[in-house]
Amino acid sequence: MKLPEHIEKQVAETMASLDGTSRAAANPFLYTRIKAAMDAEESGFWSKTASFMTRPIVAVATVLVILLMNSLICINNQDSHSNSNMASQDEDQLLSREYSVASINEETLYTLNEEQP
Amino acid sequence: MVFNTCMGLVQDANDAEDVAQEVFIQVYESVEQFKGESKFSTWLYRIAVTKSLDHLRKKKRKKRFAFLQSLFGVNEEEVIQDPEFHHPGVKLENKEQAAVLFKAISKLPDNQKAAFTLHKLEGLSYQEVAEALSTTVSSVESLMHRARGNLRKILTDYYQKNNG
Repeated sequence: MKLPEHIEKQVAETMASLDGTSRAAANPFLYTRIKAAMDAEESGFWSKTASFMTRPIVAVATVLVILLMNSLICINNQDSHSNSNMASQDEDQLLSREYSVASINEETLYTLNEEQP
Repeated sequence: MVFNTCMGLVQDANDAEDVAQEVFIQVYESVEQFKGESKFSTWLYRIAVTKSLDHLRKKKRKKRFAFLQSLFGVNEEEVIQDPEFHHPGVKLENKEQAAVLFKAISKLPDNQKAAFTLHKLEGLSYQEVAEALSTTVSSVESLMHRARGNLRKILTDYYQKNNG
């Protein structure tokens, strides 16, 4: 459908209305405002800490350290577990030696019992 | 340059000042990440466009929420429609038509809006627009073509309604 000529003309004029537009100048106080915001950003302890922590290198390094510590703790736990097993075995042996239970096995117990009456 | 880009996209002087401030703070914080692979101005444009579009999205979300609240009677305040935007750099004889055009631009999808604003208001070439939007020249050409088509459609509807 063909549009009426006057509408086509209006549309074309509107489309061209931004031709030759100059740049909008900012408020003269905008620079002062931005400077103040930057100073506030710079002096804040938490913002400084946050910006440091969110650096990719720092974040990746922190994750790696945590993983490393976790794996070290796991390995140490396994070692100490096997050591504690050995220690408990040693303790048993010591106890048995102290009360001379080790030498008493089923056979000797029976022989002792036989000898008694 | 930054303020003008923000102004063209957010279509409000006060909001444009806020966004420009955010842009400069972002630049200040992440200037170490600028590797010099592109021009500094391109990098600035990219941040300005991203921040402006984020601002528009936030504003739209707030408006939608306020509208919902007004429907359920939580917020008794009336949802205020945006006033006409008059860009200070537009020639006096074009003021009215430019206001209509800006209203139409605000209805475009984000990428078309960004490409059209950078090309028309900032006077960037297609190559520069492509660099600022991290895309290719051919896709900028396609974006501009679609933007012009959509604008023509919106303006035709507008004038048909207002003249008829």
